[in-house]
Amino acid sequence: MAKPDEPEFYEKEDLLKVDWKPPTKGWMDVPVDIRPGTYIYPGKAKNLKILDLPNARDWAVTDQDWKLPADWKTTILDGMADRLSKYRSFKLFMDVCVRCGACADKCHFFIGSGDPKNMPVLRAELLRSIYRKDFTALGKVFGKLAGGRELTEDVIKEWFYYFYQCTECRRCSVFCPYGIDTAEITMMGRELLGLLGLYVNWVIEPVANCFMVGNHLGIQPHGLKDTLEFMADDIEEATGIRVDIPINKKGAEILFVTPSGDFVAEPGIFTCMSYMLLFHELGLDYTWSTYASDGGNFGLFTSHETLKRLNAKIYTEAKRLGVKWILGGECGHMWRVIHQYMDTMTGPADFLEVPKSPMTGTVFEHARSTKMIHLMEFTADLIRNNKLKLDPSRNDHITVTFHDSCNPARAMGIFEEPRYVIRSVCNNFVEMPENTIREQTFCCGGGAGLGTDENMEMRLRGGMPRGNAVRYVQEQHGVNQMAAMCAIDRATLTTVADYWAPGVKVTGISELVANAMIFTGEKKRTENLRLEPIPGVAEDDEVEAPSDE
Amino acid sequence: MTTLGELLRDNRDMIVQRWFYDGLATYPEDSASAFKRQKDPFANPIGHSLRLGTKAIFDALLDGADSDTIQHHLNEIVKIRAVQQMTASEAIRFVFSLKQAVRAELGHAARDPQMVDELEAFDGKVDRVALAAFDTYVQCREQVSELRVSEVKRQVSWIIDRVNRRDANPEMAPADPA
Repeated sequence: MAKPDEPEFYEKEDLLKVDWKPPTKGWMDVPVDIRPGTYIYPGKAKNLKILDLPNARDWAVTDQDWKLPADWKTTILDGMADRLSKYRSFKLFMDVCVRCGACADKCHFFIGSGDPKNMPVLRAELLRSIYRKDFTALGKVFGKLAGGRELTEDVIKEWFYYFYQCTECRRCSVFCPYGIDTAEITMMGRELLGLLGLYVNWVIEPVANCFMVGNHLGIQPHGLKDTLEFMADDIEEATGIRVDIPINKKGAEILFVTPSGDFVAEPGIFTCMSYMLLFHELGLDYTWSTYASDGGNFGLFTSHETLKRLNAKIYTEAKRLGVKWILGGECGHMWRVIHQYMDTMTGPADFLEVPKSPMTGTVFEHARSTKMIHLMEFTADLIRNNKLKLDPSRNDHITVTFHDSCNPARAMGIFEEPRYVIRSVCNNFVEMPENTIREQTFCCGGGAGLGTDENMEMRLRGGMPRGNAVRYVQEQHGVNQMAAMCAIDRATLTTVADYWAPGVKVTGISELVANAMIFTGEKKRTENLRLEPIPGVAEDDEVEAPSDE
Repeated sequence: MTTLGELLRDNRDMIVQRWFYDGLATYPEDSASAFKRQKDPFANPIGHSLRLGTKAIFDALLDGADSDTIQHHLNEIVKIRAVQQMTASEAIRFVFSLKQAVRAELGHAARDPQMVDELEAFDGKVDRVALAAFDTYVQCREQVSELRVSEVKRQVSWIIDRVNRRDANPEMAPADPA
């Protein structure tokens, strides 16, 4: 081999001058490359009007002119000043980052895309650079030298592009030595964009629906009743049991609220059927509400005002129906809202009682303030107290892994209950690698209002780290199902798995429970709730058949 | 006389490393250096698949191993690049850069007239890998479109099926045996 002091060495280096290496440019000088498959369609005027939001108009992301209001610059700067004075955390997050880089390679969108502006530090810098320029003395004087930059329409476009490439999953904040919560920076970014009427339709239409009807999908009361009845039909077909459907039942002990994603899309509907079966078996005195018909709250991805407007219905309905406490289904971001905002935002819920399981007598002290508990807490307590008859062997054809949904995991710390429940109903449970679960769990790539189909390419980038870990346990341990207690996960991880780990199906935890549960009066279970034959049972039948002849 | 195969084997580590770095150079510098540094396969699937893949594909080309190995590693790499901010040519250009990596590492030896035929044959192999990479890329893109359609279908098919079951079309009812 040639040495550095030999001519050959330098000739080799000449050959290295290849033209495909990107030039080294500062991030501020790299323009946004917006192309189909990576962005979400903008909020339609009709939806903004329903919510009284400013600058309602129809526009397209690919338009040169985004039809911003004439005083857009002042609006943004005033909006920023207002939030900096109101939220100490926002001010702190703008000031305190030392750019240590601990967060840089922790974002699933960065890991999947290789786009440096998906590094949490740079995503924050998109906003921070404006803050420096207009709100700090150094930035005012030294501008770019002090990390500041001019607020232009291109900056607004960049914000729109990148703040809707953050799923507010907060994985990066786990690694930040200062605890900077990039999710909150994204929230601020989205609020500011909202002042100019810049929303994505996949968020703002559900918000408008929810504001008018009570759920994101806009399912009217009679539609909800029909949907639940269809589910009861399927339950009967699979189990021989006809479940009751208590709706808007005044004086019920418990109000049950679940994400509306459970009402329509597969595999969420099977999770919903499982709730109904469980409650039926327990003889639980509960009710659905056709108004508080969504635990999910896309207001969280819009602004704090919208968050509050949508959340109010849960306590209002609990009061109207006169229930004692509230039980929530398998939802993800719903739990961040309930656990961290609801009490101070729409509480105190002093008209409710501290949740107490009527079956076990367990008092859920941790929900003393919100009066609302998660179904997994409720189910884990039932199993712990031997209140469910279970035959986990019915799930023997399943080797399951568990995806910690960002919000229940990182926001609430619900790590053990779902695992305890899964282990109780499945004999084959496999964990994914340590740096992809629990606090360090990877997002599905479709949370925080990104779970639509037009940005599929972006979602697959964001879902890649999760998919990669799933495929590992699929190859190593034969995992064929992934359980998740979040409606968005159930919808979007199905696609993520189809691309990155084909052959792995997605399920709710309650579905695993219902398939393992022995119900009073059930017929011989040959089909699961998806009305698919249960492998072991079907084989038995085949073996038995010839011996009868 | 040393053959090309021997030279490639002798310089294997350097060629593969150069090829790997060139592949990473598709990404902006900050990202590429992060992908170069991090060795954990779960924290860095892009770097991991490219590191493993370039090594395995190069070895397979040298040993004349079965095309399944090459296809497997191509899948690993191209599947990722097919959903990233790249054009089709950017996504598969890394395959061609193996030719430059070989020439850069072999230096003068690569221009030896004795070596030209062998190098040409090797280039032909690389071109075949590139063609396979292009097929893989197209398959991935088609799959992305299919996934988009399937997702929308999953949102409506169940409920439509149930509505139709309830309000069944009388014309579809089984004929009266009488």
